[in-house]
Amino acid sequence: MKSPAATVFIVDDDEAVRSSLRLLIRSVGLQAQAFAAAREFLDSYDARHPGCLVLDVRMPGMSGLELQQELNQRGATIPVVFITGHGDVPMAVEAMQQGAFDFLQKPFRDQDLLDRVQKAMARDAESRAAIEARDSASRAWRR
Amino acid sequence: MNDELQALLDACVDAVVIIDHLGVISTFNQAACSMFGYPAAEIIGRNVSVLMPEPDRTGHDQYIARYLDTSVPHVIGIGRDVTARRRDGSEFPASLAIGRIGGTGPPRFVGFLHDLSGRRAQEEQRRAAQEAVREARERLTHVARLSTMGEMTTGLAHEINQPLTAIAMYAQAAERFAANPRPDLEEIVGALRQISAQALRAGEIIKRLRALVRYQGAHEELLDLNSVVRELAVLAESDARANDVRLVIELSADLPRVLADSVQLQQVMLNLVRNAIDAILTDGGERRVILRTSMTGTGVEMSVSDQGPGLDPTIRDRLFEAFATTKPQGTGLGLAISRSIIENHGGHLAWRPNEPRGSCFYFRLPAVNGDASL
Repeated sequence: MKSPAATVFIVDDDEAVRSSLRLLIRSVGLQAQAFAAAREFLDSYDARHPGCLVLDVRMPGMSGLELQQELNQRGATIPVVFITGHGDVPMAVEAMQQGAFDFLQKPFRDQDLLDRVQKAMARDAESRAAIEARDSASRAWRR
Repeated sequence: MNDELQALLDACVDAVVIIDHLGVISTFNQAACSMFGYPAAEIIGRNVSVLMPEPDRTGHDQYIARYLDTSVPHVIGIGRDVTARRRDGSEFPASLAIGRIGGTGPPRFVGFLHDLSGRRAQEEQRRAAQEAVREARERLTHVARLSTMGEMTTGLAHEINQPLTAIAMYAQAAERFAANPRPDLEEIVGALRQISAQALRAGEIIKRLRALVRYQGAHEELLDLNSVVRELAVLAESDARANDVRLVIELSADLPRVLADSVQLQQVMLNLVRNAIDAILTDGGERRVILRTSMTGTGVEMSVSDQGPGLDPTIRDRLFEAFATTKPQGTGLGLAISRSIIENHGGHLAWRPNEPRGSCFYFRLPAVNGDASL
């Protein structure tokens, strides 16, 4: 089975920020999918789907940090780029300690975001390739 | 003098002095001795004027003579506050009552003196304490206002970041779409529309920010309480959202206006909303805070209610006292300051249980009547 195209997942409760992020990512030819809430994303997320996650730290209901913890518990390896508001730096630090790929403070330059997204996508592809290599190696071993 | 009378005089807490028509002291009770510092034996037989400072000291003989002449009383049966003089020359305030002793012989007079120096000092102390409390409260109000404004400003700065971020990204995306050899005009136009919508959103936030910064101290004007609540809801929204609490606004139509300082009222409302959110967070009650306005008999009421745990009976009596708090990080100043703000507006801030559970804090302000209410 062919795996689905790599996708940039966006989770942000602010409608304007969410849709502008999606537009910006699509403008460089990447596939993007946006969610208004962490729970919404979790409900539809399939860990086999390659890509990266652009995640707002501060959201009502499940926060970005809580979503990250949930993903960690599920063993998901999707790289997470956090976006934070002014004064959310302590939260960003915590996110990094929990294994976030990177973070950006609002407002940010488009190129800064796109660079991080591209790097995160590359990282995801690498780790998936590594897992694939290991799995096929162990399959070969068993034979 | 018989024993009963002597006992009566000695038991009297006020000084009792009896003089004849020339001002000569004939009776001087124990209270008088300790009040003035004279032994009875030393003072009896002397002119009563030694118990007074100038100018009464020199004038007293004439006061008696004038009274005997004209029978017009100036103190007798009226009483007055006077200054008295002790044996050591020190003076003290006293209230004096004089009665004329009837009989056939020349008139005699009995004077009762009550030492006021203790009471005066107490009054002085109480006034000073009240003054100190008032000053402290003013300082606290000032500090609280500054910090509330700081918080409001931070909240607004956060709010303004959202549309700015969106604007930047829409513009950058549009630029990239435009750079395509066969640009997708629909995408570009969509992005431009969003940019103008978000710029307007940012403008609205800046308007509110400017209203805050312009604030130069108490400024009372005729206000529509409903619009004050609506503005406050915008300020409190990000706080509520961050805690996953919904603000529900129920405004009563056609409220009469109130004379008030809108920033101070918002400070009070923000405080009440914060408390309500904190209450909800402590026990996970229904996650909504209701802001309501209504008319009362002579004014308008604004209430903030939650379905949190309600109030512990031990805090109820001290609710509005400074430094009384149930929060681990609380200063116990929020409600104390809020109440003083509302009272300065001629209003009243209080608590009642909310139905079916939780707390309802409300304040009432007098309505401004007449045509001014437009």
